[in-house]
Amino acid sequence: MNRKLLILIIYPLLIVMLPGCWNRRELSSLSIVQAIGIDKTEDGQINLSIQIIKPGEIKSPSSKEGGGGSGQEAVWISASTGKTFFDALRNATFESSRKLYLSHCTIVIIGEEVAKSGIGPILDFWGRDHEPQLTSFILVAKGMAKDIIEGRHLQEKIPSKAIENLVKGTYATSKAPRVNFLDVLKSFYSKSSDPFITGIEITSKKSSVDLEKLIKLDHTAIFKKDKLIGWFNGKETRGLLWILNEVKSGILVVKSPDDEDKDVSLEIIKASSKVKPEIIDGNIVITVDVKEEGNMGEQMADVNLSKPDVLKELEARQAAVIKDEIQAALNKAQREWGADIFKFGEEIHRKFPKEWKKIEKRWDKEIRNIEVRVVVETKLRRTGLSIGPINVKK
Amino acid sequence: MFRKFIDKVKLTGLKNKAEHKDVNDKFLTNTKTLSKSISVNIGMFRDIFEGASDLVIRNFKIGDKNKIKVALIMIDGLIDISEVNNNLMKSLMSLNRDISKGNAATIVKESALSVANIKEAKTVEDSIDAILSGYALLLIDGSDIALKVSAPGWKSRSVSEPATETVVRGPKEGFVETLRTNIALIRRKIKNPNLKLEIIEIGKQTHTEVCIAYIKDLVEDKIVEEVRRRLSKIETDSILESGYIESLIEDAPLSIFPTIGNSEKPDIVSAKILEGRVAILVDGTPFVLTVPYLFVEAFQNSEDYYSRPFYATFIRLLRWLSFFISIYLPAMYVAVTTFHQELLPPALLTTIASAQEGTPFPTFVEALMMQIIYEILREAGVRLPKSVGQAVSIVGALVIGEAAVSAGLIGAPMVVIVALTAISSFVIPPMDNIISLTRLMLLILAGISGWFGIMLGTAGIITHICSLRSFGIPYTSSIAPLNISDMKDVFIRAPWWLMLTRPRVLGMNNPVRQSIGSIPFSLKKDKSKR
Repeated sequence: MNRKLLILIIYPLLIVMLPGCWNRRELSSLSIVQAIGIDKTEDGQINLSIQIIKPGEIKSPSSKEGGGGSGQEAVWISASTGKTFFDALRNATFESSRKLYLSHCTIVIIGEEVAKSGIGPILDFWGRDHEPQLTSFILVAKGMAKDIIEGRHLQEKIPSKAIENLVKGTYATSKAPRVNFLDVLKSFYSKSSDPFITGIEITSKKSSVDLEKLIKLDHTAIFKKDKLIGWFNGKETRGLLWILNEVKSGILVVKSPDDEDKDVSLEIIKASSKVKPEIIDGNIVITVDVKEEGNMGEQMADVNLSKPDVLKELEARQAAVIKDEIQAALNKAQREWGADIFKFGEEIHRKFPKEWKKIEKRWDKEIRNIEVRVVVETKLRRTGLSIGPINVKK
Repeated sequence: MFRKFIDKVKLTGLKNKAEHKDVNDKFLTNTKTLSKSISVNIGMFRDIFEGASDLVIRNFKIGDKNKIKVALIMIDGLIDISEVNNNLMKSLMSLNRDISKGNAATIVKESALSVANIKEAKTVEDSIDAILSGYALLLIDGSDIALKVSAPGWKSRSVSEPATETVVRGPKEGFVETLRTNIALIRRKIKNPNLKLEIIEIGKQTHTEVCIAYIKDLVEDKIVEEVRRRLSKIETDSILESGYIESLIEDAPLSIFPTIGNSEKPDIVSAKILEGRVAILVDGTPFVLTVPYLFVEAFQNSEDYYSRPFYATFIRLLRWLSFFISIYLPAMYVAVTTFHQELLPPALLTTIASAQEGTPFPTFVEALMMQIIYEILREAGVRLPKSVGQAVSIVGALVIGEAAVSAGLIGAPMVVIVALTAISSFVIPPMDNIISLTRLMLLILAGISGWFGIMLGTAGIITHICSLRSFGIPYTSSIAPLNISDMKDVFIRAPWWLMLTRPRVLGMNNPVRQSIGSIPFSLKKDKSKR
């Protein structure tokens, strides 16, 4: 009887104690980190700018203060320095009265200097620690990350929330990629691929009171291994996304077939692409096969679009624009930098493992010589609610 | 461990049994027969009922020539006095037949009394029982048989709508405290000679009538046998409410989950009987027990079966949802906000964090406090007279409401959580007390080890209820062990024309509820109609 009772008491206790899940923290003892900016100090140390939410300032309108908080900023920026990322993070406790809580840190911004000297050592912590999420977005600042963290956004109370929405909203143009930690870590672990990361910058605007730092997504940072090698503009970025089959939507602007001075906007409705490596005469040739469907969204010329041959011409021009974008991306990254952001290496490895073994060692040189053929097939589906041009009286 | 505990309880019970018997010995010796002399009998009853001021003994003489002494013994208040006056006294006193001591009893019984229900009592015990159950006992000189004349007429509540199980659509009548009325209410629903109503007397002091009701051929004999066996094992001095019986015959007396159901409404009890269950009616209470009782029964409401199946199904699913909300919500809130903040969407987290800003207590203490305050309020609301009840709700709204939040004692989300939990638990009244207890248990586990604790508690609860049996039927029947056919009445309420069979878990004695012909549309395309 007594032995059984003892077992009945001890087992549940063991079950509760052994997993070591005990990590109780009250919400009011946490600093909820929203964004981290990583820069380098002059003496090579890591300098973090940490954006922390001030919960008291985000109170509901019905609370005592009325009108939602006391009108102060909803976030607070703490700065800390350390030899490593983790060290710097812990050093922040000298400034923050509460323990930093990283699970809700959705944005990590890397300063340009840090990116140039290599991001690998910094990302290690993010993949190793249990608190940060791999779905956090990662961005590279043009300039200092600190400036971005301190930047403001006029629509959102919490600037990092705005950045998150900006990154999530890139599908509308496909001119900027949407990159999280997992994507970057994947290309690190891959034998051939190189990462690319969304770029962000500050546009200063002179307001009535003072100089406001406003945030804007622009350019894409291209890496070779873990070092920043150069920037892609919007056009090149979309070229990259075409190859990676990540274009969701966007506007293609082509010249009107009837009036070469005026433009026609075509909206991308459906897009898919395939990368097919082949061996032709002992050489590896990669075919990028893009299929696209679009609608006509707007025309600035007076063209009657009810004629099939006009539509055919528009389709052809659409394909030409896409091809041009892809070529621009290939020229810069493949030919110029030799960076495999297109995951060509993985495709070759998958399809021709034996041949891959031969070129694996000198892939970063070999990639420049690989012939890439771009085949674009486009279709124009609808022309919107009106057929002809809008009737402007002359 | 529990087995040992039960054994220990049984042993102490056995020890007390000897003393128990001694107390009742005096009563037991009265199993002797009545005497032929009326004066001896009257003297004996006087002795037995000594000190009973409501006992009426009326001596008078009947017969044309040979006046024979008779006596009416009855309890004032248990019998209908006008009935006794008109149909008993009057016809006896105006009896102008020639009778003798020898044949008086027969003549009186056969041709003098204009009363429908007359029985003979041969023993003293039987006579005492009759007097105490609302019979007028007629003693006739020279006969060792007394006549029990039924003339019950005590005050009882009239059949009215029960407060516990109100419905919008459906019968409004409810059981009352009188067994006979209750039996009649069931008989009125099930007009079938196969409806068996066995009466057992339980309670050494109270002699409470307990009735086992079931439909022969429809119920599994094993279940009836088991009910009889368990009832006959009861040796207690009093049964004042069916709850006494419930706790004496239940399968798992140490579980918080009830394995015996109860209802106050004849239509519900009849429906359960018709599904192959056994009902136990107890004199003196409107609450009728039904066995076997399954976990899923708590989610079935009589109105489900009276309203259209689509809405009934929706409401039933809602009940399951409310059940889980009311059990898990406070525990989940505590677990998520103090252990797993990463599980919350950022916007929600900041909202909760801003509400928690500046509250003095840890979330767990806050939740526990609010939970207990709510239980206090609820109990106060139940016990207070209705006229004072309003005061409770006003004060209650202050304690667990806006006032507590604006005083900075409690975060606003906690108030919402407690209120939501409370409302959800009102949806399933039969589960009310289970919900309160499991909720508290899970809350404490969540406070100790977060989500892990909740999962641990859940595993414990599931293992426990799966181990329960109600009169041989697994408590979680239809779900575990899974019975696809019975699923028509668990999470959904299938239309009546699809409920072709009775619940299979209750036995396959007579499974067909209705023929396939009662489906309101033709199954095959009827070509002749074209």
